[in-house]
Amino acid sequence: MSKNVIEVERLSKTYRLYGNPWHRLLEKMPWVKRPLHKPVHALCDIDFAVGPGQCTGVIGKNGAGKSTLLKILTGTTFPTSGRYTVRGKISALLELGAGFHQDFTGRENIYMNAAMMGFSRKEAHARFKQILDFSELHDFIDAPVRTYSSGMGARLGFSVAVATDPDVLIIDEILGVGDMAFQRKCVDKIWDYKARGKTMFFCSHSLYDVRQICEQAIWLRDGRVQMMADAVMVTNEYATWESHLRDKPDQSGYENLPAAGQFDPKNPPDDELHPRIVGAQIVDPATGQPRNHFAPGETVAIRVQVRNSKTPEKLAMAIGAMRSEGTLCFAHSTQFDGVSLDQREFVVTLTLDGLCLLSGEFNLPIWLFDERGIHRFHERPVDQKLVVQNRTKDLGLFLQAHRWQVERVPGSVFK
Amino acid sequence: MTSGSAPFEQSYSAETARHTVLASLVPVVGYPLEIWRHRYLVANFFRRDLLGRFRGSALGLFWVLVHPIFMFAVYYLVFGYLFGNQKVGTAPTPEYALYLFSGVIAFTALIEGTSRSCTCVIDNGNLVKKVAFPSQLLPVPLILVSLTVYVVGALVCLGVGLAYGVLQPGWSLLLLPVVLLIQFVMTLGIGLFLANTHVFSRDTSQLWGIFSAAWMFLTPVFWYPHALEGAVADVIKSLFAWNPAYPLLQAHRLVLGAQPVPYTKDVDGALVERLSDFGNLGDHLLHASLWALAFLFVGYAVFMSRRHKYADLV
Repeated sequence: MSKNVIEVERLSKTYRLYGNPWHRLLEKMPWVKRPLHKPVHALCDIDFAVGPGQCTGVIGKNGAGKSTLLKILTGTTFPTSGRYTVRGKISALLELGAGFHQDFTGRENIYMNAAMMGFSRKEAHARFKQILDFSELHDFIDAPVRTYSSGMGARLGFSVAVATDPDVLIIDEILGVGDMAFQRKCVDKIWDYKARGKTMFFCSHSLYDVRQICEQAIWLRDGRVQMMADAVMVTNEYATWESHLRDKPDQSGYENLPAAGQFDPKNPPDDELHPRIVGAQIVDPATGQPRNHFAPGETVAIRVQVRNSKTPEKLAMAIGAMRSEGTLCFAHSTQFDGVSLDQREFVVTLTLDGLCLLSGEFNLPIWLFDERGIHRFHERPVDQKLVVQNRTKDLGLFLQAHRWQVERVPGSVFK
Repeated sequence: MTSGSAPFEQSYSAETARHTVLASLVPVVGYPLEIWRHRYLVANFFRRDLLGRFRGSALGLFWVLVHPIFMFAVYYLVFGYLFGNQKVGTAPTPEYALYLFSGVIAFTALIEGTSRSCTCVIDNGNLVKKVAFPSQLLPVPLILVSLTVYVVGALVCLGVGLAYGVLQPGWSLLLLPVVLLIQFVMTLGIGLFLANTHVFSRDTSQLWGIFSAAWMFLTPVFWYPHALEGAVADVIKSLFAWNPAYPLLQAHRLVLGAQPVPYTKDVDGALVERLSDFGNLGDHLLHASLWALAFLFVGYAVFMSRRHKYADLV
């Protein structure tokens, strides 16, 4: 095992908040014994290490210290105490447009960023075309960046960050920008990075993305590492904690899926490039007829018609059931179950044997992903709601398989 | 503060990092190299700044010329006609006019370079805060712009001077780049110092505005050094010689080929004709460069020792 790519030891960052600008100066005076600032501990004694090729997700609420940690690793700001080491070229995708000079043209910004990364003019020249092609900003490259739309800025930022071929790529909430096709390119690029054994540090509010992309995750809470472990474990713990916090039922999984693309998800562009869900229906598998009123224990089928892009992509589909108050009761994915979808036009049927939901109205959302389950091509619910009508008097959300037993025992059993 | 043992390895420890001014004094040797390495970056900022200032204005780059000429006209009117450099009621001589002009453009470049450097870290908050931008480069293009404006003015000055036969530039004109370099270094040193101070206290730019106006009047921009003779005690006169801008300004004038001007002096009741010279060019260059280096060392060391805090304060 080679050396860790990122090592962080007892890292702390404390900001000082002063009541007014004079206090900063006044505090330095020898006769002022009492500190005049309020310390704000953005990070407290952070310890972790990231091995080569690992993809680490960082999750936590706003203000938990995620951005501060990323800023320290990229060398923008410095820790108050502790130490860190980054082995390899590091490149960061922080906020949109950060690191760009708004008055410079796209071209000038590319060169400026290359220079900041330590590239010579020659190397920057060599990469320029690649960056331009990736960003697809050919018509705007000589316009000042301040005239760019946020999507264009993001494209340029992403293109520059990946073109420098860093060993460590730091991504702060960048997915889900730009148009559909560009998002797809970004996801491909990120995957390509993973495949080439590069190290990634991924900061996101989307637990779903963290789970799909990262192997391990760090949960930061109030500047401390609350948990660092396998990504699925950490995200589950986090989701549970967060739902307690919000005093709302746990919806871990799909609740923070951003909307797919930048078009109306119910009405995607009718072109040949985007795979999409053409229609969906709830049917009675016995008769094959549409029906949406079922009783627990019956078998339900959900049929979804999909039209793939002109050159068929490998797709993954997930179908869930969401109660009217927003609880996701289940969501199953072809990706997790190892079903491949790669034809041009096809119908997928999800059969739910022995429906165990109890009374309620359920919305059935459908997601259409790329094969890795990251890029969302399309999402829409089934037009009808699934209505379950209970014939027994059981209460609750679902019908748990159960049985009763009665024994006669004298005296007390439970001590 | 950042050490690299393997290529691209960076390590930082808050316990061993030394942010003292003295520790930051050593890397000043590498500063010119740093500027050279990022010359395209600097060139970009330079071009943007120069073009950006005049974008959208009808006269465009012509303003570079108009500003010093107009200021010169005002000073000439006020100091030439209204105040005592000349006998009352007589027109000011072309010698004085060009003396004034060369002083005004050189000093304006110094003030403009420093005062614009003062706010450069704050103005580029987007870069300083979000990415590891080499912020010590920020004043460089601003100062280069101010020197460019100066060079345009100096060409005008030379043209007029030659036409009137007032300036007689010789081989010394070849030393103009040296004088420009000295001014660059001095402005950069002061600029870095101010930029650092301004991050911590936003009052700096205001204070500097007041200070620089006073500085301008205390430097022989409008008046000849011989005006001090008899007017103030010798101690004070020698204090004027400790003005860092003094040797710089006189060097500018000598390089442009300024000639000694005659003046009359009241010596024991008798009027004596004297020649006011501008001193020795070599001495001025030496003094100015010593000042410039001192400013650069202090400015750079202070800037670099505090740089790690900028991202949190901007």
